[in-house]
Amino acid sequence: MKKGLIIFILFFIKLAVSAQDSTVVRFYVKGSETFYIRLNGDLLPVSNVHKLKVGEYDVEIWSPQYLTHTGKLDVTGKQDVSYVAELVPDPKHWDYLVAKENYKKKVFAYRTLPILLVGLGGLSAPIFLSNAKNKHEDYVKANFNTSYGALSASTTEDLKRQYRTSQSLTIGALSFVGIGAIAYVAFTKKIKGLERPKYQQQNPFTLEYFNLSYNNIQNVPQATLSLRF
Amino acid sequence: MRKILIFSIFALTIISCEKKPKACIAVEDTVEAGSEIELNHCSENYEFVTWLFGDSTYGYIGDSPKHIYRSEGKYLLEMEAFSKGAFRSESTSKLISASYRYVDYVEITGNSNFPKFIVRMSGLYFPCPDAIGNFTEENPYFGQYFGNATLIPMSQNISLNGFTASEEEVLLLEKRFNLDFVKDNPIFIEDNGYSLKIYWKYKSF
Repeated sequence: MKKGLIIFILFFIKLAVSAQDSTVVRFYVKGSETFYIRLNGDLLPVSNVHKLKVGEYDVEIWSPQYLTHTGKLDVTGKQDVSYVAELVPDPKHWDYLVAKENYKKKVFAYRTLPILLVGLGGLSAPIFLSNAKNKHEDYVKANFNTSYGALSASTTEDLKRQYRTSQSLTIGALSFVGIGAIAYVAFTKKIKGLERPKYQQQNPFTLEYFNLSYNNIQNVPQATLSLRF
Repeated sequence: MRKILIFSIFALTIISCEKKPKACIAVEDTVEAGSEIELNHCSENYEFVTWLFGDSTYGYIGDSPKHIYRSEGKYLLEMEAFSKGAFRSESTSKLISASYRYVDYVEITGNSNFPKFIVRMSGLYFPCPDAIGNFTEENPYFGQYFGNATLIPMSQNISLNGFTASEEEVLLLEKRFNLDFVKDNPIFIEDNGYSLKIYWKYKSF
């Protein structure tokens, strides 16, 4: 009986010891929500909670657009462990963002702005011209009536001012068309010579390529992933 | 971009291409003085026209002004045709005469045994001698006269009487004409086998 009790106690001790063989480790990564973890060279499933055996680990954490974080993790098995890491943005990605903004500004200046000028001027010039014609007609009639009729000179002067305003607006709109067209033609070579900014980063764990570029037709950034099989 | 450019150039071309107007006055050489007359023109490619009547009255903007020349004389009628927007114009002028209508001669038909016809017109009295005879359409009585007998453009009563030394007989009853509107030449009255045609003319200056 005594012997049986000893075996029973030993069994429970063994169970308790084996339960301490693996420990829950929580990874808290600042900077990115999607990240990959590699422990001692083995890639873990994408999750921030893992059950790890007691031991010492070399930790590598990587997220697109960030530098790989490296560190040490000691799992003692006594209690749950939290591992906190702060990812450092990849300076090349920052350079890419700056280059992208410059690229957008140049595309706006070399292509969008000339098109806008031509469009605005082209649409508004006929309206202003038509208005100027009407105002000039009114002015000529009023001038005639002032000279040979019973209309006051102030009315004529007022109409003359209105005509001058419409005339200036027409000239302005036509200038928009001219400047826009000249700028468009002049910048054609420049826009063709513009190089789209690109950002490429290799996933150090899977050797896939993560690419960022700029779609200047839709004016949106474009992300692609090159997979290796 | 190319489409916008083409559209802009096209729109501007359409709007700015106005043909030069051609000014043309369609008024007789002589118009009636004292009566409201309508002045017409035959201009082309115009948006509006202006008129100066040459008699120191106000100018007029429009197609067919109605105007009264208050006194007889020669007047320089000026007209200018403008394109849309009034950026282009052409002017023209015409020297016209304004004259009252004057009786030139009369023709009378009917069988008359009166030595004299009398044409009466609102107080005016025109004697026509040697009136005995049978006057027909082919061979009417012809009476040239009348110096300065003016057809004033207002309501006038016209009648034809036969006249002997002692009495006057009505051949054509008095008929009322508003000469402001009646512009026929000749003015014609017919009744009881008699007819009277009054031919008129303008004074030449």
